[in-house]
Amino acid sequence: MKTMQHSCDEVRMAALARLDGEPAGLTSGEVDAHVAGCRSCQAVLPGLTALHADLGQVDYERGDVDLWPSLQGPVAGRPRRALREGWAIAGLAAVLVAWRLAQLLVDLPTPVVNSVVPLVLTVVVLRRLTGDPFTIQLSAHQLQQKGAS
Amino acid sequence: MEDLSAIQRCRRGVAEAFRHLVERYQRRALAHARALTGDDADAADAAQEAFLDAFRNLDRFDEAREFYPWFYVLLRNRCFKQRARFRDRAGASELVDRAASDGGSREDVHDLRTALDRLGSEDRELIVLKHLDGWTYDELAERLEIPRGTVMSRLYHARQRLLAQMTGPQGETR
Repeated sequence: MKTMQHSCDEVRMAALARLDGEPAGLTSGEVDAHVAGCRSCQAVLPGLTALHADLGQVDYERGDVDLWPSLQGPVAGRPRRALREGWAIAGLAAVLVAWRLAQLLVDLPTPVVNSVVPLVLTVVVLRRLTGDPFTIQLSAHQLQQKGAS
Repeated sequence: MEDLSAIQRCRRGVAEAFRHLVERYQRRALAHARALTGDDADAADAAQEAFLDAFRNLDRFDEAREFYPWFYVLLRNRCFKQRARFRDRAGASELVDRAASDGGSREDVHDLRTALDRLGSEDRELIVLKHLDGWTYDELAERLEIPRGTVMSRLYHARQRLLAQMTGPQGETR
């Protein structure tokens, strides 16, 4: 007997979830009862089931690749972030101390510049250090929307 | 060598230790990057840049976690950037998903891999994460930041589109 409480999509989704070993939202009895009375699902589900099995056999990691030769140079030559940050902050501190000493030892005629330069320098260095690859996360959907606009 | 040991050595300045991570994860990274970009060359570029990002940011890696899920965030960002670059190159009128918009008749689709290549990148990513990595619906939901019900629905529709690529449109649903 046909059960029309659930749509074909709901039933097929549940059948696939069951194949994935996931809770499906519908009981096996509900799925089976719908399929037993639905020609469309009887036609589609075997294909989806076979596809599910085939997807488990695909060699996704295909081909021989070796990225290391092209990464080796940049990795060896590029100081890591913490090291770069350390050097940048040490450099900033040295410049600020030197600037302060110059202020104490030399009678500079422009007090505004005296106080603004260290501030600007600090802001610039900190701004340079805050590049963050984790902050650029756009979903493909957002990207498509951005592209469409 | 274990991942953690390699990461700790990298942090101490032994750049060569990073090789372990590259060699262990490069095939998986390229599979994911290919799913996201739909192109071998773009995938290789994105994976390479993502590994460099990882190396530069190893100090921010939480040793209590696994390396690859952390790396995957970097890889995904690089792939989106790569696709954005492609979109800029190709012009605004062209679709982002080359694979999905790639011409060719249905008769040309001889195997599952070709059909996968013709799927949209969101569908492909989900299928690869599910079937290559074996992520559960809950893991997919957490890492892709979408509800579990959306994972279930998107996976279903992705598989249905894949099947349609291979066999033609399926019967109508009610």
